[in-house]
Amino acid sequence: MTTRPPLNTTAPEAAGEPERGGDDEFGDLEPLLEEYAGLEPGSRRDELRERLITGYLPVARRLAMKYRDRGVPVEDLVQVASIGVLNAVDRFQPDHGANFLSFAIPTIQGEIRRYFRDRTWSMRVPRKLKELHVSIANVSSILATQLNRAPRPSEIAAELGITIEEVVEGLQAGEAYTSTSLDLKLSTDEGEGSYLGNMLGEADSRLEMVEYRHVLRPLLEALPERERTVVMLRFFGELTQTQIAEQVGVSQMHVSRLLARTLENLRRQLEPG
Amino acid sequence: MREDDGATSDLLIELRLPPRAKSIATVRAVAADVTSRADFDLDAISDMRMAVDEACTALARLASPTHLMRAVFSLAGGYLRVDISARVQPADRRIDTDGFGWHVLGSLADELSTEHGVGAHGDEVVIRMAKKSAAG
Repeated sequence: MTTRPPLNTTAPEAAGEPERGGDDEFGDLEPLLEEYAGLEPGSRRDELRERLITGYLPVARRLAMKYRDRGVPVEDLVQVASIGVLNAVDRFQPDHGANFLSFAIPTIQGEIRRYFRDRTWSMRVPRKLKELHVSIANVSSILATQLNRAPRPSEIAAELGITIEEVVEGLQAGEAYTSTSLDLKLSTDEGEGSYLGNMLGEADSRLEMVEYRHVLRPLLEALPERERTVVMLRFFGELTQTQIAEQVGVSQMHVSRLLARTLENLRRQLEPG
Repeated sequence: MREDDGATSDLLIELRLPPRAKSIATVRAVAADVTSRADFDLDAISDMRMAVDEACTALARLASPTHLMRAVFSLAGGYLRVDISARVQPADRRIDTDGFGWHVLGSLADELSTEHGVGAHGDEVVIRMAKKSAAG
C-alpha cells in the first residue's frame, strides 16, 4: 500500500517532475474518482469531492508555481489553479478510460491562461512599477503570516531592501490593476456556507432597519459568492482584510480590490432615486 | 474623544473639492497616500481609502453643487484623522446614520461621528473619522 498523499496545499515542490510528482503520489485517489463519478448528490459525494479536491491541490500548486515570475502574487495563482482542480474533478468521466491527470492538467492550465488573459493593467503603468507591485504583494503575504497582521510599508521596505517611498509608489501602482477570473465562484471550504449563514443572521440582528431587510439583504444575496463572502466577513464578521485573505485564500490586495469594487456597486444600487 | 484643536502642527493636508466623483477619486488616492506615509499597515491603508470614498460620496449627495467640499487630514497621537465637510442644501439635511453606508464607515474607522447645522452659515455637515495605527 502506498502512503497517503499530503492533504494540504503546502506540499513540497516536486523537483524533477513538475506536475505529476511520483507515479503513486495520487494512486489512492484514483478509485475515489470512479466512486465519485457514480454517486448521486449526497453527503458521501460531498465528502469525496472535498477529499479529491484537497488531494489534487498539490498539482494545482505545482502548475501555478511555473507562472510565479509572470507578475502575479503566488497565492492568487494557486487560487486560480485550484479552480481548475475543482472543475476537473467535477467534469472528469472515468469511464472514458482517461487518466485523471491527463484531463486535469490541461484544465488547470486553461484556467491559469484565462486568468492571464482577463487580468489587465491600465496601460500607463511602467513595467518596473508592475514588478514592484507584485514583489510587494508577495512579501506582504509572507510578512502577514509571520506577524499575524498586515505589514506596514516600513516593514515591507526593510524586507525588500527598498525605500518607503518606493513601497508607496508600488502600492499606488496596484490601483491600476484589475483581474476578474479570480472572483469566480469558488467554494472548497465546506464550512463556509453555514458560516456565512450565521453571519447573515448576525447582520439581521445588527441592522434592524427597513433599508436592510427590504433593500440591502436582497442585494447581498444576489452578489457572487466571493464578493458576498468578503463583504460579510469584513463588515459583519469584523475580520481584517488580512484575516479574510487567509480564510478565502487570495492576497490581501485582492481582498482590498474586491471590497472596494463591491462597496461601490452596492452603493450605486442603494442610492436613493 | 479628542476634538480638533486646529493645530497646524498635526495637519497633514487640506483639500477643497467640488462634490463630484472625479474629485472624490483624487481624495481617495490622497487618503491612501497619507496613510501609507504615516506607516499604517496595509489593512488600515485600504480601510482609510474606502472610508474616505464612502464619506465623500455620502456628503456629495447632500452637498450644494456651487460650494466646495473640504477634506482635512491630520495625524496626532497615533491616530490619522479625516474631517470631511460640505455645505448642504437645504441647510437641515443630514447624514443617514441608520443606513448601510454608515455601518460600513463604522467598520472601517475606529472613531466616527457626524454633525450638522455647523459652520459660519449653519449649513455645513461634517463627517469625522479616525483610524488608529495598529499596535505593533
